Amino acid sequence: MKYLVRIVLLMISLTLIGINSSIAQQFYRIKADVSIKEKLANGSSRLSVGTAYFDKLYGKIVYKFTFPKVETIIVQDTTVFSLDAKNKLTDARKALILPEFTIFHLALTNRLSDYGMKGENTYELYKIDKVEKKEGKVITTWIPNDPSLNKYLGSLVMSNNNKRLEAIAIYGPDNKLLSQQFFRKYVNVKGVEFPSQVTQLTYTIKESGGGDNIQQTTYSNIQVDQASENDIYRHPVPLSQLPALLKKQAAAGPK
Amino acid sequence: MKKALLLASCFVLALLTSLPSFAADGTDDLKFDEQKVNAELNKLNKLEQHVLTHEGVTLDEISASNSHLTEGIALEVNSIAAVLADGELPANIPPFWWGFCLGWVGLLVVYLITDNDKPQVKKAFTGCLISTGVVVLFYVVLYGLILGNFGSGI
Repeated sequence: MKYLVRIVLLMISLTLIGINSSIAQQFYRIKADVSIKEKLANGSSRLSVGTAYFDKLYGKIVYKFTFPKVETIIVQDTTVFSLDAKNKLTDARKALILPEFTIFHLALTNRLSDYGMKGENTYELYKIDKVEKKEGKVITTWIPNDPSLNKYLGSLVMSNNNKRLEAIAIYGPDNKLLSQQFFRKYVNVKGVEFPSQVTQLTYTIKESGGGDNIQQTTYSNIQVDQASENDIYRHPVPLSQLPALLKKQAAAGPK
Repeated sequence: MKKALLLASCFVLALLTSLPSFAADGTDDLKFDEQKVNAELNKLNKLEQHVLTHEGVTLDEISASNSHLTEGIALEVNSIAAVLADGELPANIPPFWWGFCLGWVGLLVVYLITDNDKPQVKKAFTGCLISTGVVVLFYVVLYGLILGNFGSGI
């Protein structure tokens, strides 16, 4: 009997140690200086420089931009809010951005290597079609899980080097290349692997007059689980100003 | 001895055919053309360097005192668009996925968010239908197995 009790106590202890270890490795917050450069298909360019804050628990991304102007942009739920230097709400746009699939969340949860494709969702959109090895890199091809989805979704091809995601190529249902993303210059901050340069090339339909967009985002001074600046991580949105803003936007017409 | 060698060969052959394919078949679409990207972003890179070394400088200040940095660049002031582009999911999945994973709730969300943008709503509706079909099929198979086992047990 004493022997059995000891075994049970040992198992409980080991379980608790295991739980504590897994909790200790859960990162929840990340901050980085960002610089977003874009060259658009219509010939114009954009440059935005500032700092990004993301807290997994609050589920929002806060950008404090200083260039081209002092501005705060908050991505929360399904809306992107813009506040001016005096925290007055100047814009609000609906957006289907899911925090779980941003680079911040994926890096914090150590799922960037497959860009979250091996997710915990009951129904997965994609499955692995083949795995190849070339020049020391692992090339994984993902195709829609259900053949009936082939009309809407094309394949995804990923390249990993030493478990780090290096590139993604995304194809349409007609096998035309839609976009490419490149993840380079990885840094390791407290155990979180983060690419300090992400370049995205998007190809639009040339027949309808479209062209190519290039966006390059550079991250620097990355901090993980920062204890201070809580007020920025949970930056509130002045929702009381939203009705007046929406009325103004409706009067101005669609953008 | 010969029998042992034959068995070993069969075993190795079976093992090899069960492993995933490791053919050396890559794709050029995964190669980063750094020179091409740098050439496209050359003027922006110079502007960026100035902004990073002059903390807090705004576009208005640069236009006033260093206008040569913005010459030849049709600069748009639209950080919200930059953030939207940065946060997009690959393959334009969202509308479909909202319907697929969240069912009618996801469909409603897409309908409201996109102001009844018909192509987006259609994608979400398709996702919703397919996920419903998967669930129904799962339960049909499950109950079929349960009832089949129950029937054979009687």
